[in-house]
Amino acid sequence: MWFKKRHKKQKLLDFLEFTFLDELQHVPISKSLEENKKFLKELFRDCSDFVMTEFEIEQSVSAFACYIDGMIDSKLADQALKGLIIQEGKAKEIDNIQRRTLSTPQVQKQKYYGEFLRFVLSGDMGIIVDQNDTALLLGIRGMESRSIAEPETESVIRGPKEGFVENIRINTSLVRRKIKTPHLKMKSYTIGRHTNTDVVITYIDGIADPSLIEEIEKRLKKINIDGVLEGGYIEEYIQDNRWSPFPQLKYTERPDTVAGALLEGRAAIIVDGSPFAIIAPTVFWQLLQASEDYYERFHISTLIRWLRFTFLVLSLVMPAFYIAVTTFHQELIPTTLLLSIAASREAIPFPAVIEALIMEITFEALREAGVRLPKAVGQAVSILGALVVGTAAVDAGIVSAPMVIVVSVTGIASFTIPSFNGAIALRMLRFPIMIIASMFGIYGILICLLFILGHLAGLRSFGVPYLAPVAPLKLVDLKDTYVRAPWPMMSPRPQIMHVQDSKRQTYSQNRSEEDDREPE
Amino acid sequence: MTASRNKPLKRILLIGMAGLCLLITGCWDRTEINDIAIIIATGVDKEEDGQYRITVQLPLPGQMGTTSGGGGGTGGDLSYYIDSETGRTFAEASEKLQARMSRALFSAHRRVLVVGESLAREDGISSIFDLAIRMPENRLTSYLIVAKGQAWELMQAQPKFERFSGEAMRELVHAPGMIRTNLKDIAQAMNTPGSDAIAVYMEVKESQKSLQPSEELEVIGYAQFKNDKMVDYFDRDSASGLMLLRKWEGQRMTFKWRDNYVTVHIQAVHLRIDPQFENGRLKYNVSLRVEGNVIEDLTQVDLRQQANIQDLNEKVAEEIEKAVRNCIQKIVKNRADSVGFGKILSREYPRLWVEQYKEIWPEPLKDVEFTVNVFCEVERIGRTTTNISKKGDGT
Repeated sequence: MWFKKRHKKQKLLDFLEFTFLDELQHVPISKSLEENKKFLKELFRDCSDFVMTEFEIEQSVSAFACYIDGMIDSKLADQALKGLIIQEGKAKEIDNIQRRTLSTPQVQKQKYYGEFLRFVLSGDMGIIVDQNDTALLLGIRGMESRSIAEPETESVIRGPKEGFVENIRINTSLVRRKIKTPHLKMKSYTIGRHTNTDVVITYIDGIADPSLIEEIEKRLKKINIDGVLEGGYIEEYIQDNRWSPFPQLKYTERPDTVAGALLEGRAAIIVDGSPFAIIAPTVFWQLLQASEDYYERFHISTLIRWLRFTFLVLSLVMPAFYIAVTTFHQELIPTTLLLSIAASREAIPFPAVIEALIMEITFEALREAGVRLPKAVGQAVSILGALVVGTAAVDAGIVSAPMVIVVSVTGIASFTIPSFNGAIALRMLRFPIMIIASMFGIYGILICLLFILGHLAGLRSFGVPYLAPVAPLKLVDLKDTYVRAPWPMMSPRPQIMHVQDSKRQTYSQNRSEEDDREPE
Repeated sequence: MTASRNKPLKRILLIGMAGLCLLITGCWDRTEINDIAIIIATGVDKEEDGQYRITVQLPLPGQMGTTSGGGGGTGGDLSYYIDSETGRTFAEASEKLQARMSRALFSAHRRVLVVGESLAREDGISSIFDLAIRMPENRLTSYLIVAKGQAWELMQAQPKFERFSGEAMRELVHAPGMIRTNLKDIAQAMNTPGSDAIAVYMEVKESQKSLQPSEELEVIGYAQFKNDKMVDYFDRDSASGLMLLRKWEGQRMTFKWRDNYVTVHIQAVHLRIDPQFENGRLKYNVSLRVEGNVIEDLTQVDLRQQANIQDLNEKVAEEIEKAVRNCIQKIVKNRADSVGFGKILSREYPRLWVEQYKEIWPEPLKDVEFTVNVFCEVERIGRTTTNISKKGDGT
């Protein structure tokens, strides 16, 4: 314990020069109240939101409380301080205060400044009493937070309509509310040397593969960045292949999606300050699944999945295919269709590929404008959009009518993919495919698709092959890939996850349910 | 260690090599849609000086969409135009055509290939197939039609329903009750020993009693080929026999029964052609089982009576036999095996076929005896009661 000794010799004020809070990890709280006060005052110089109130416990022992204004619940703080000032008259020991006087349920002791400051900055109230080298931290956080609302990015017709908010405690409680078992673990970390962002890995002990959790922890610990403002920061650190356009981690705003993933043996990473949880590992097919698939009856869920598969392909190759067919393989188009395409293209000044690029880029710009603009202006954008990607453009002779349809169908197709980041990957890849298609025709498209397929087959997400369970093939898992089997048939958990507990329902239960069914 | 160090290099190499693969194909033939002239129909004729005349029908995309085609003789803008050129070979003729066209002729969408009768009769059609096979653009699934007269006359017709006469011809061949014969079928019939080709035979007919008479296309029958030359054609009467012998259903037969006329639609044909040898003489047993529907019955006979139906069955069988005999007679007369009797023989008696018949077929047809057995069943009498205008018996 050499460092402690060294620290004790040094004066507290010597530690004022530091860059990151974790450098104060082993700086002990001084016994002298004055020294602590001076230190904190100096530390929070020019911090108008830092409040330090001095008071005397039972008119004898001086102490002070410090907190960040706006982050604590003032009612609870009032109550706690009142108790301290009036009731405490016996031993002025920190232990006594904690046990006898404070009515706050969440109290912890802290000997070092590093942690102490971190908690105070996170919204706890710190209390330092004279002649004690231990500080008290009162968990009376009362930060204002957005109320739980319907997740805007993942709305459903049937299913829970609550979404995560920016407060990590609320978020973890939302997950806990779904899975009420002590096996649901929430491992907490602090990442971001300036932001000190709370990050929680949650998983179900006994289902999730322990080595997966170890791997996630290992990767999280490697992150050494000064700030984490959103899960996206972490995602880019922990994903397997940083250069791939395909997202190897799924994010969601829905606690039920997280809970579902946890029950499949996955882990989720929740980051304070962001309403999005990251699910790891993620396979390609997950990007095409929505939580509602599991709530609606299986027929329609299955059919909708097929619809998504179809439109997934369309969103990737539709414009490219149109270009290839109209400029290389005119013989593939039915004659009457060819004639009407020819008729509508008669006055168009651009080659098909330029036409397609103009339209696609305009469409992307419109989409971006629609997302970024305030909602009131959004309507204007959609009106303009209908003009640009619509008959007005055709009438002006800039683009042909079939191209408008192709672009519109492609746009719709990319919106049918439930996960936004999955759709983005395909959107981006669409452009190089279009250019290749304009040079090599369908042959070029096929080469591109082969490249993409090869890339996808090589990707992994935390050790799980990205195309699993299709490649490598796991027949049992296909029940929840191309189709969504009815729940009674979904007993085995995904094999690709190497789960510890492989069955969702015990076989005997399943059996008895079948037996109970009366023959008609 | 070394593997990870070489990884980017390997990757670049791999992408480079894959990129080179793209270049070796020679697929660099991008053509915009408005740089091609889509051929809807091609006509082929023989000129008096021995040159071939090629006529193409090309849609004008700029004229389409606004007005429907076919000006009906009023001189309105047509949505297509026809151009023609002669040459010693087909390729030369189309080369000349191309010389006055700003767009590349594109024949992958050719609906029909029209052959003039004189070319079909005198020159033979095998010359057409040389170019058809050489150019991958040419579809073998387009239909070959023999024109009565010149091919371009047929193409100049302006049928009212379709925008292009080529399209109209294709639709006519597609109609139910027609034997569809595309280039591939014809080539196959020509190259198979023991069978000869047929092709749809059309002419231009003026519409009757119309406000503005238009030039319509009409199917006359089927041109009968012997090897590659047209020798005769099957008219309406013998055509139904030909259809039956080729197992095509869908045609209608009208004949006199009792005191008036009846029209029957052939719904299903079960055909068996058995070659046999009797005392060393070749004989064909043709047995047909036909199902038919009554389409019209002017006789006012109550077809609900079993006896009447039986009588009608026999009558239809008799008519069918007549049609079949008619067709066989034409085949024997012209020594053109449009049904493929020789092919059937070669399958039943392959050895004998090779040794005795292959070389001289279809000459032996003249000594062949044909027995025709027809069994007909009129399955549907077409309605549930008698003629609704008929007086009831008071109940």
